[in-house]
Amino acid sequence: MNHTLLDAVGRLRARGTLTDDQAAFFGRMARDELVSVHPELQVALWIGVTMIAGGAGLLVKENLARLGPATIGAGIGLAAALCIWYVVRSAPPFSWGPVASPSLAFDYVLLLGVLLIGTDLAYLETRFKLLGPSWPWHLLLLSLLQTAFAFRYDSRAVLSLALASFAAWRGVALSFPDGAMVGPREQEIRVNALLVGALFLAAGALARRAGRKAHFEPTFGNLGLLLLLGAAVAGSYGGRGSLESAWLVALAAIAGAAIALAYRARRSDYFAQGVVAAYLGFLRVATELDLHVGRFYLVAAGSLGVLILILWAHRRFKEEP
Amino acid sequence: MKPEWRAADRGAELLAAARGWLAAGLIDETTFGSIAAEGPTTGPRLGRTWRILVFACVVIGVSTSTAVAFLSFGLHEATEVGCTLLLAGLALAAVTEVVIDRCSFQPTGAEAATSLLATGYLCAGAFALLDNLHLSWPETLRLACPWCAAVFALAAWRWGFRLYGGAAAIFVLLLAAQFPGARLAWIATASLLAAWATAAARGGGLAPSRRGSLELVRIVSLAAIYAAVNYSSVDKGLIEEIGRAVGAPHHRAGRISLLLAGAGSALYPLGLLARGLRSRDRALIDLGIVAAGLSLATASVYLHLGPLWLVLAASGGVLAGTSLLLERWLRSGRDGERFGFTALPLGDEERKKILLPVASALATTPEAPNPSAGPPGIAGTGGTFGGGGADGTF
Repeated sequence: MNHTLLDAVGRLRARGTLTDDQAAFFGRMARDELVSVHPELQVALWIGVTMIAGGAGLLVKENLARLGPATIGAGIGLAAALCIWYVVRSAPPFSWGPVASPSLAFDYVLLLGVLLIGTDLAYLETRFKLLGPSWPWHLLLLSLLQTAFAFRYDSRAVLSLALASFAAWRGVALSFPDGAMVGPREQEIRVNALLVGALFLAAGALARRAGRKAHFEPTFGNLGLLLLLGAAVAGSYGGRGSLESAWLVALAAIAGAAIALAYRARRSDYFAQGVVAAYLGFLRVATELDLHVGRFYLVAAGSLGVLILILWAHRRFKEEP
Repeated sequence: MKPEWRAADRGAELLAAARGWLAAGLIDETTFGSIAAEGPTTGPRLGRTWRILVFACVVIGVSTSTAVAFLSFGLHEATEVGCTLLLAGLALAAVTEVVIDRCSFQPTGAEAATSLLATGYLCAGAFALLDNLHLSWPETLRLACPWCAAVFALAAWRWGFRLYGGAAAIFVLLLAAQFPGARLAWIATASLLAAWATAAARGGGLAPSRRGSLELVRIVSLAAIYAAVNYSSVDKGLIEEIGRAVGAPHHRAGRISLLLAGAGSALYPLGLLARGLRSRDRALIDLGIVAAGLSLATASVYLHLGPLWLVLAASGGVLAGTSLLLERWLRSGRDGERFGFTALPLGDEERKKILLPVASALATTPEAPNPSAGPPGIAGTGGTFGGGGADGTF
């Protein structure tokens, strides 16, 4: 029982802030007489969907020879089709604005369907080599398909997948361990990441300006900025021991622009990314300087500087009451 | 905890609940504004992003300053390091008091950082001083654990950070595992802690953060009991390993112990679930579900229930299917509820809903191709194919 809430509900009712019905309802919640298992159901669905997708992937990997390509391809395709059939059947009409999910299962079944389509496409491409040496283009095809699903069924999760597939087409993995832009082809990958990041940012700005799925803008924007700043940070740190000043300049420019524009647009998520990237760049410069103990003073002073910047800037950003 | 801190804590809990009611459509903006206005007057509020940034800056800044102090003054001896850490810990505790007391906007993230560093330094200082006595690791733990438990408990009680309550419980349990009959001592201590935390949390005058700390102590203790009765834990002697001296033989579980562990792995999660459903206790229900999942995973390892893909797909199907059926069943009840449970969101769950699918999407993000290589194969490459979320790493 939540005594604090129970007392507060009684007080609010006495002052007339809450109606009798509201006070009775919230009182039941405070006394644990009414409990929502909505979060538990969501998590269980999410884990279930992830396990099914993982099981399907393992099935393909472990039983390729035994089951044969037709059985596996058709089986996964059928499962994907069932998911998409459910989605098509229960989806609300299309709108350029936000659309509420018709049920708890909708988003997860859509996600499972799209994941299974991805598995099936990758399997078919690997097995039959439909595109030959141009096989990475299947990622573009997949990305377009996922984008279509994301827009039609208003799913930011599927949009994230589409953007990840698009980045993968250009050789950039968004998952952290695979996304290391440090290696034999790092320059090419970093440039690709910069271009893809800029494209995502432009797409987000366009969506917002045109008022077409404007609520997708944060997904486009955050992933785009993450790629831009990630590439610049990787460039600054990935010089095999020596500092690559061009990347450091790029990092300073991108982080500075992100901070300034985010400050102007009152976007705390973009501002935070810019600050973190700028701080990482500062640490890179600090490690380069031959200051011994002075390096620690510099890092401590830098942390204090960032703290002051944050405290100075936060008042401009709209906070929750 | 000062009276004004308690009042602010209560106000923050009411505001958080009201924000949830607003998000769930249970109240309108006007009512929310009235509730917000009736709470204790607070200054501007830092958002989560800002608090994380401030937290990181303070942690890095203070840690670096500590390193500067060690280097500047040439502190290397264990006694010097230990005493310095203890002094720094006390200073940071004082800073935490000042930040909580004087800062015009709460929470800032700075008080979380300074309190974490204070507790960390006070615990690390004790370990450094004990290092001077050249004790064995179990002996060091026997002396350090009560100190660390006391430091974290005091921090939780004074400043109201819930995590410290859980940390204190873990140190008490680690201490229990240092003595002969480690597993029984562990279970007995965890049971006592759980019973005490449950009884203490029922008190009406508790501040929300203190109630939260006690709740975490209860969850940690109940999870610790499961860790002690799990079949794999008994089989591998995980609890006994905590207090095992270097060179001492590994603990081997007898047949009766394993038999009891098998029964415990099956019955304990069910007991938690049953108790949770009866008392509509979400923490117990969640813990029961997690424990049941872990017991199933343990069973699949020891009993070889089938190929992994089948176990994964079948368990996932059962989990997803059960969730859907349960949701439908609850929704079809009178006013969308049955036996005091509802599938409707009563807080700001809908706002968080997007996080799970997006996390899932990013977790299954496709592997980037290497254009100079051919198409990746499936068999034998350890998972190098995939696209659009069909992660090749499985």
